[in-house]
Amino acid sequence: MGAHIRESLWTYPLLHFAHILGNSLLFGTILFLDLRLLGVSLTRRKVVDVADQILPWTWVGWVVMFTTGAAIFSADAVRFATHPFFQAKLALMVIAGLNALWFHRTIYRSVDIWDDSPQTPASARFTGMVSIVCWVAILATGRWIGYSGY
Amino acid sequence: MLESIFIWADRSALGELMRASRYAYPIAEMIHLLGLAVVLGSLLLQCSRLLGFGMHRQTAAEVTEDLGGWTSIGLVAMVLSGICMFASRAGDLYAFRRQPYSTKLGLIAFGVAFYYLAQRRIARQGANGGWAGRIAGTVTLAAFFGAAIAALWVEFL
Repeated sequence: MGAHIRESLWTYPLLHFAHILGNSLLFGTILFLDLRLLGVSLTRRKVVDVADQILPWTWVGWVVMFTTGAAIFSADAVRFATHPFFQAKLALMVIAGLNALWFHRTIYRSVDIWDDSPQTPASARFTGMVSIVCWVAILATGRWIGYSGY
Repeated sequence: MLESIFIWADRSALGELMRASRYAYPIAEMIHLLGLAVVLGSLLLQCSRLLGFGMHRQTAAEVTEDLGGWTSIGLVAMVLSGICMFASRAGDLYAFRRQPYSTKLGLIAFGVAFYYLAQRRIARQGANGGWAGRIAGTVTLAAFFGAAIAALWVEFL
């Protein structure tokens, strides 16, 4: 697959295009759950309603981003694997994933208590902030791979 | 007329400033991509409500009220960073990528005008998955997806 992507005129640009769209869909949807947790946006909506309706789109974005990202990686695996910005991007994705997992396994289990409240618990606000910072940094490090000349 | 705009932008102080710094273009592009994410996410959620396959627990008017402001913020970020990126490479865009770039700008202008002049009004009038809402959602998504395809065409021509 890696050789095909390197040798094809259109495969790499199309993968890159789909990767950016997947990344944008992921971040552009999870952002609104994070903003709800921070009490900045959608504060008149229940947290459960926001999560239930937005997260399926986030998963679609994640699947597109992950599959196209894996294909792009295979085209130049050695360079990517040793690239400091790529390593930073992967580390940030692990942190973002663990942050989401921790949120769903802990504070979200008591969401019935604070579902309607515009002001969410401090730990939920912390999770929302970590998520936004991580995804902005993932986008920045991902883009910088192309500019760093490493 | 078109040529003079590209040449003016290429020779402008902004264009020179963007080209003088190693970091200016990448930073502008990151802001552009962040704006894209906000626009894509907020528009998709609004359009999915109008098309009848998402956000069912709110009316179309409520979804627009919740997310419309974020679409505007994302568009402002995209336009401002886009102007900086355009100024830094206007000569190259005019010489080699004029047609796809003009197509991209035309589709964005149409999509933005349609979103503000038609879709938001239709949503606020209570089109919860009716034909008017479905057409509006389809037209907006098609215009912005077409602009994204044109952007791909610009970058990889």
